[in-house]
Amino acid sequence: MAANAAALRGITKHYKNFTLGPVDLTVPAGSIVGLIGENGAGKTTLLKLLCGVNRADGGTAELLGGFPADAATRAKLGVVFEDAFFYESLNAAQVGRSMAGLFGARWNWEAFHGYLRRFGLDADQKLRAYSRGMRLKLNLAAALAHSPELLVLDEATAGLDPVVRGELLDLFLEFIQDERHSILMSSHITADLEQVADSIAYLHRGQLLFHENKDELLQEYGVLRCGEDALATLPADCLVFTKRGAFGCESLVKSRTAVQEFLPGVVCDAASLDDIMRFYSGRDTQ
Amino acid sequence: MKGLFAKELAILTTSLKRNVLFVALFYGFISVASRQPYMAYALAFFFTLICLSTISFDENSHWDTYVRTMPVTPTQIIGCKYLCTLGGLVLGMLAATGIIAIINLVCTVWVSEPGAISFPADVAATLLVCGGMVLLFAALLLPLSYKFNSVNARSWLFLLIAGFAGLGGLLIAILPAELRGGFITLLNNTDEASALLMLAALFAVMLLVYGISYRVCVRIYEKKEY
Repeated sequence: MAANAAALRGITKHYKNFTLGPVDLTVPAGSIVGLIGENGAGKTTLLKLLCGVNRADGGTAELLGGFPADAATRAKLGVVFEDAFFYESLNAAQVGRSMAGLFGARWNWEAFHGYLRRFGLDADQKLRAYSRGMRLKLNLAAALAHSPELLVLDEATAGLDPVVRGELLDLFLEFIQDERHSILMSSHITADLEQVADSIAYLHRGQLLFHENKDELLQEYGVLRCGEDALATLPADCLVFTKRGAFGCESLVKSRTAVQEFLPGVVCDAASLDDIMRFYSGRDTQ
Repeated sequence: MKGLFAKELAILTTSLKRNVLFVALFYGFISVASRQPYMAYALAFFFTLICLSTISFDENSHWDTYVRTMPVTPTQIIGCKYLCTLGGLVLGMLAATGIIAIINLVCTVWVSEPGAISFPADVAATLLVCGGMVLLFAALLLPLSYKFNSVNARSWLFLLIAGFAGLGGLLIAILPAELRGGFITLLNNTDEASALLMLAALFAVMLLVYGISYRVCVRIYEKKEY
């Protein structure tokens, strides 16, 4: 089995007012990669390039031992886009029949019905009667029922309540348990990624700022709250960005352990993914 | 490709079944009741238009983006649309023929109205003309829909039709009267069999145009960004 489920090398895509890349991103086999970034950072663009929806202007994309443009390779891919549904007049049974015709021998009716039961979806009910969460669950059932090797999720948990999100996260962890399956998921709900992701890739204004192991990332970054004079003693490469307020400074720092050794009496909490994004975004806004 | 046809059929039967049945029955009833066989030919256009309308359903649900992540090629995706549209045309032509057969039966058995009876040659000729026009309409609309989206495509199509009609009218206007007269005389002097053959040839040309449209549409779709 290949070491990577997907590998993007030097991928670029140019639009009138936006350029993505060059981006180098790999999805190791058997792992969950969380893709974060502000609105308009290029996450959906990147995922569409990987899934074969659009073509990159430069670079190469490898997907599950083949290429996104190859229809046979896409048979091993399961995709859930936030706003792409089946037409509302259909029901789950009709969706299943369409997908069975598309995926042929890979389609597993038993698995599909199993997911429908697990998600509490009525196969005969029209999709217009489904809530948003139910539609996403159906999309997921359709994406999983043909045993994909890579699941690509674009904001698949957006707008869902915590209970449903929890169920889906458990499902994702089950999915990768056998090490043959991988997930690449973009989400604004960073708490979900902190829970399930193995690594985090941060896309910012079309550039990949980092792709690191999640636990190491959360260990490495910290939010330092101190005065200006304390900040001045820190090495420049430790500081990502500082917000100065009336009561002191709040800074995103790298090498949290080293900072705590420099300034033992100062508060330096572990940074969440949200903090990392806010500070990087603030730095570039300035 | 089976899955693509299954999806098209599912949409047509769930979203449009009621509309289709109502219009078909309405047209059929009016056509039979008023003994106006020419109304029935509109069904060829109607059924084709119904099949063409699935493109807007795909756009609304973003299926057109989603399907590109699946194991189907652009040739198959576009091919399915073209075949379904052709199927709609065939269904419409069959429905028209059925209604005309009922009118003929009514006019023979119950109401003596020989003027409303359609002869097979007339039916065949009219179906060939209608079918050819519908094929041309679909051949223009499909690539425009993929190039500009289904709503803008209609505007472009009306512009094209207006352009062609205007150009055609201008050509006829500037043609010398002898040529115009000669052409009309030629048509009047053509026997039924030859006329049918000409119309069949024109229909075949329209099928060829439809095939070229398919090739162009595949190219447009391959380059399209979502």
